Amino acid sequence: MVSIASKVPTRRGPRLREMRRGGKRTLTAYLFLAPALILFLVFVLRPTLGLFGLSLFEWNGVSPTREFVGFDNYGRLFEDRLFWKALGNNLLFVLLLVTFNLVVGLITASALARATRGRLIYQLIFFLPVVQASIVTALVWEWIYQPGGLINSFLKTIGLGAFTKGWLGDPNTALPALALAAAWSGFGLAVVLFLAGIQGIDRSLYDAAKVDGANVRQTFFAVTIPQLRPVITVVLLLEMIGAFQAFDIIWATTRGGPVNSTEVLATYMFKRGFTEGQYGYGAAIAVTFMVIVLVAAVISIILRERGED
Amino acid sequence: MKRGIRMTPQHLRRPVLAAVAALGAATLTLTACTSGDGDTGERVLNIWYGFEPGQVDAITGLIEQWDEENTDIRVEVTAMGPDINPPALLPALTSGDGPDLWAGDLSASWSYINAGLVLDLTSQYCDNGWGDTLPEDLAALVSSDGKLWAVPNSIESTGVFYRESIFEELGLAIPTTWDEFTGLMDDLMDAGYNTPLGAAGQDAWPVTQILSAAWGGAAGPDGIAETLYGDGSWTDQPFREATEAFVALQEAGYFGPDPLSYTYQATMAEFYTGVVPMTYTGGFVIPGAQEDAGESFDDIGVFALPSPNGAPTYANASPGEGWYVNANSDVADDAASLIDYLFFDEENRTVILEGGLVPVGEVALDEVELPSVLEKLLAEMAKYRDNGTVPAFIEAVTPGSIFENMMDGSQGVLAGSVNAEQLLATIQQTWETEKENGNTLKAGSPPVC
Repeated sequence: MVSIASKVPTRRGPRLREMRRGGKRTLTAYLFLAPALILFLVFVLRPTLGLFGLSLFEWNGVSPTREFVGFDNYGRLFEDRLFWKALGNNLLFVLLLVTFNLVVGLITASALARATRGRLIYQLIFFLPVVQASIVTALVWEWIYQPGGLINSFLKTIGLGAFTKGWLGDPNTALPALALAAAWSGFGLAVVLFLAGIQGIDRSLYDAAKVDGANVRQTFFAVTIPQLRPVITVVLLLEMIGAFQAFDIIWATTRGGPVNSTEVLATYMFKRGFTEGQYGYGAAIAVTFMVIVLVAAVISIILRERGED
Repeated sequence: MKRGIRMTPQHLRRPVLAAVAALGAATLTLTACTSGDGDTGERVLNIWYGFEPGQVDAITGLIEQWDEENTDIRVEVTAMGPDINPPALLPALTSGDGPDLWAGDLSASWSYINAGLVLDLTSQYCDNGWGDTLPEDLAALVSSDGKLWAVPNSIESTGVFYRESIFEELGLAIPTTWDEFTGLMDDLMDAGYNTPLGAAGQDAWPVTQILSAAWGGAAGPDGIAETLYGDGSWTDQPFREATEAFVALQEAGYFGPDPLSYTYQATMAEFYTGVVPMTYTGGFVIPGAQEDAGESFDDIGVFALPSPNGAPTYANASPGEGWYVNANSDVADDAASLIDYLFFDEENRTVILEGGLVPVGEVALDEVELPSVLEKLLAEMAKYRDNGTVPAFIEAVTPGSIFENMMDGSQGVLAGSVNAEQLLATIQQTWETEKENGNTLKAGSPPVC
């Protein structure tokens, strides 16, 4: 005898099967996300919350007791002239570095895309500073910027001895000099990313531009740049975050000097927190720093999203 | 999945991959949370210290010797530079993984002592008779409430290091007054030396030594003590006069056209090659200078910086660093034994002296062949010791924030953006905050046996 139940399909059957399939897919997705999520929770979110908690206290780093001061450390930040100077220096550093890497990186990548020979060699050469240890970069550029270093020697050789100076010793040139050094060490990444983006652009767009009579410059601005917008946003984001977090190259050369002209948030936080043992205040600087970078990153992403729309 | 359908590899793939991902996540988390130091049961004495290049040899040789003589324990030495040491030391000590023995800044170590991280060495001091060697005033610097917390490893002095051959060539005499000192630098500039006194402005800390010396010379031992332990202020007249004299040096161009562009290494290189005829530095440079200066080493002379306000010239001396034992160390007795071996054994003190470091306490200089520059430095200090002794480094007896102010202020002076009044006002403001928070030195007394 045939079971009627097995013969008559129910309306719930397909839907339920679909729900179960969907549920399994969701579970699978979460399981794949789990490693990254766990790492994020343990090594990013938890310490961040701990850092915020520390910023509400006054603590010298070793005492068994901590004094709760609430938001006093944040209030102190607003009145701290050096904090605002460090923030201003940081923003200028970011602007210089990002501008250099975006502009020079894009131009270099465009030139490389046209190269028929040696493209890989050039890519390797440009990428080499990216993989170099930042402390090595700092030491090399410190030598280059010395009064008797490479730059001044070159200027003297070509008859521009009047322009020689102690690049890291002048409060007006120290920060731009370090921004250039940091940009040099990172622009290879921008070149590689832009080159990959350019190679992904549909060739027919360039052909169409040629047919319309566009020259190289017009093609670059009308085809290449618009097509590279997603890549530009990614590069902008990466370079901006990296520039905000600059520490090694500054600490290894000028330590925020001369006269705080190269003081950035990371070095200032390090000095207040670790060197002077003001861990609570250092934590407040770090939290504020994090919020600033987060806001900048979110604005950048929103602008990208709007651009795509 | 329908009943009756055979499970194929394709059907199994997703669940298997998901299971692998979950297992991987769990393993990663466990690995991150588990510490394994591979304890083998061997006794190890971990030491952290960082000295000037060359100084390491005097101490490391002796440590190796002690290690060989004590076969039941193994010594591991980690050279930690002064920049890394404080930031790395604190989390290491508080986590329980720190060194058993370390050389640290005297002024920065009080917070560790107050937190109970440093071993009380009073019993070793009393049982081993360290008081016979360690002068009471130095012991007082590293003691509180009758307890000894550290052993100073050396005595450092500073002075004006100059090239004797240049002075001889130009017929220049050693100055004994401030006016003679500035006149000397005018003569050097007239002779074509555009940087009479090398100042490593980019690193800042060498410049603070000139400032320290000027303050000590103007205020004298009593003035310094009154400010450190009493009601004196960094804005009092002697400090003002000294700082104004320091600023005047920069305004006269004696530090050269671009002092902020020079690191300490670059300045010393120019001094050794005779490009710069004088620089202000201390005995800590001597062990490294023997190699770096080469043939020029014996051409280096030393004179004490005259007082900027006409006060007598004083000797200067500061303990280099203190050697501290971790209160939670399993080999604390061995660490204390090594300290005894290094700094209180007469033969080893001679070895340290010959290596260019001056150990604390009396040293039989006549019986030791010293590096020529060290001999000259000690002789110069001995000339003025009867006038009294001031700290060679103010930062050795003040909180770290004061040193930061001194470095920033010195650079500001070299940049022309900070004057004497502003520099001292900043330091005094910081000093008052640190005093309020109990971070300044108390006038201590030697340990009580």
